[in-house]
Amino acid sequence: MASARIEAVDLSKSFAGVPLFGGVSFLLDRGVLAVTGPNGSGKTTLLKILASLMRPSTGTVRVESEGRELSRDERRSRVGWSGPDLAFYPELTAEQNLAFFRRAAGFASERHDLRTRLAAVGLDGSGTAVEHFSTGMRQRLRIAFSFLLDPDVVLLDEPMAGLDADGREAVHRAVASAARRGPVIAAATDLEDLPPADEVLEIRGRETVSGKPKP
Amino acid sequence: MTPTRLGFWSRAWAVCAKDAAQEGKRRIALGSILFFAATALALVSYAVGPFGLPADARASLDAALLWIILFFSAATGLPRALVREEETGTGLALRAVAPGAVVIAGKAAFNFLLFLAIAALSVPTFAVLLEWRIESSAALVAVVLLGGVGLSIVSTFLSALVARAGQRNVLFLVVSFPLLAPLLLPAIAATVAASQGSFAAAPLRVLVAYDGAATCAAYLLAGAAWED
Amino acid sequence: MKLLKLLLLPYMAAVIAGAFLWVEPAEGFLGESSRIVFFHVPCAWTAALAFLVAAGYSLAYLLSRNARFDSVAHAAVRLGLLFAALTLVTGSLFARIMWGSFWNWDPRESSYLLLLFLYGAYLFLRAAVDDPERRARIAAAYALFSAVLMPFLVFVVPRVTRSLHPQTVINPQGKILMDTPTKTVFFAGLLGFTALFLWLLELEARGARVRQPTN
Repeated sequence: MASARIEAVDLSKSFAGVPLFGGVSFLLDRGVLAVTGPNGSGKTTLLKILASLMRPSTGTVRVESEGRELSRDERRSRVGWSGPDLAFYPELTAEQNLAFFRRAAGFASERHDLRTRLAAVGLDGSGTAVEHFSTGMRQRLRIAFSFLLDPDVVLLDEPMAGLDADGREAVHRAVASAARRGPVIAAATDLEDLPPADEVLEIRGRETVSGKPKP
Repeated sequence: MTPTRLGFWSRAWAVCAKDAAQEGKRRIALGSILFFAATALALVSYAVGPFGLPADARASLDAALLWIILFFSAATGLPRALVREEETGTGLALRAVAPGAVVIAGKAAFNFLLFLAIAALSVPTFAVLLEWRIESSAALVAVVLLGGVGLSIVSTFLSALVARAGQRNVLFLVVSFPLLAPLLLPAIAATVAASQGSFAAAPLRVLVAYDGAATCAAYLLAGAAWED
Repeated sequence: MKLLKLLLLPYMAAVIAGAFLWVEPAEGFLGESSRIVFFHVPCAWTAALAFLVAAGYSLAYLLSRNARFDSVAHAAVRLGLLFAALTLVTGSLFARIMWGSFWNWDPRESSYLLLLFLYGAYLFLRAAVDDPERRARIAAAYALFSAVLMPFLVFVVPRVTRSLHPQTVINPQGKILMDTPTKTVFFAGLLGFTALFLWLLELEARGARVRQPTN
């Protein structure tokens, strides 16, 4: 089974000289790390940095898979990410969207496989274009996107936003199964909006506090 | 464990096919370009007509007018391919799965097809409306193809740069004109020669070199242009 | 740099004096018009050099993501714009005397006009992007892409089309067609303008860093 780990070393980010957060360090090889903090504390930015969608102002991110450090390019397919500003092609169906992203990432896409992935988040393979999707359905599709390439590391920003009980249940299942295999990092303002976590990283202004979730 | 991975071209082709599928649903890019080209053609033919130009200056003026129409039609439609990704917010998802080189190659391929569609319609229409005699069609086809390759690649690369800036449309014209001028000038020279029945080796060689240089530069700089 | 500044003043004064007092007007040119070569050509050379410097620092920026390199590249383009404008002004003064009008759409005039547009476009592009890191990255990509296509503008296209412009220093005969005093003052001028550019570049880049103390 693939073993993977993600390490952050003294990450900080500032925009135009104004610091957002600093001193973020952790090492995770399996289980769920919850990232919490108030609005504007930089949770989304931190997850984007971990997903190589942004560069940190200082510090480094290392992702290892099977004992080997992955390049920035390899991380694109080995690290799955979704966040609130992730959008899909409005004219295309959910299945067409996922099929395209798999092919653009360099993976073959099969109809049967895509249907299974959509069913896992409670979406059917119907011909509805994404522009007619509700908020909850879009969120379900985002979750499917983060697991689309069977990544070693999963990053979920606001995974529960707009989801009903059924949808939350689907996220719990997906996260639990991924956390047995490797690291999962999930971010939200409050711990209640996240799947059960093994560790917590709280961003408070320029300092971060890590610890265990309180029972 | 490792599944078979698709190669660079298959991935770029996926981007191109997706754009074609999207375009098939809305036809905004194609529609706006063709509308623009038609307007420009109508204006030019109304203003100068078949006899409005002095006979000795016709060859160069016709060639210049044709490339001006092609350039502005392209500037209207080609940047859409990347600007649309930012408008729909899908640029982020695309960045998450594909490197800049794959995206730019796919978009450039789509833009080249779009350019061929414009050229296939506007060049014959132009020739008919202005009674433009072309002695060597083969030479003209060569010029249009070579010019189209460079125009598509440079436009695609530059639209990746302006896609996330303000005032995109004006900005695209500002940044593309000085870089496309060294393509347009030899293209016009070679078009003049084609209408007079000859393959003009010197400007065609410049076009080939330009296309090659632009392709290499766009490939190497795609990551810097597209990824944060 | 201080020493350079102190030496530059008497040196440039000597070049100017040499250009007007020592050198005889060249044959085949009207009146004293040939003297402009000592200012026109170094301006043109410096404008092109500025672009190469900007491209070099842009590459350094992309490799290191150090904001300092970006501010030097930006300064080089601003100076390039100035020298390209001076090239056009000195060139059209010469054109007025020799060819009868300030502007003739000569391929060489046009190519420097386009170079001026290119510098302007770089500055427009910077102004249109808000985020400083994204601005630096996009500007660097544009500068390098332009550096690959610029030789077509400056060297290839003017040679494909006919030109009234006098033989350039790099000419088909591969010879420098000048007498000894002309040659001496000419190359001294080139060197002086290059040093002037480097001094101004350092000054501009330092000024830019003082104005925005971001890092």
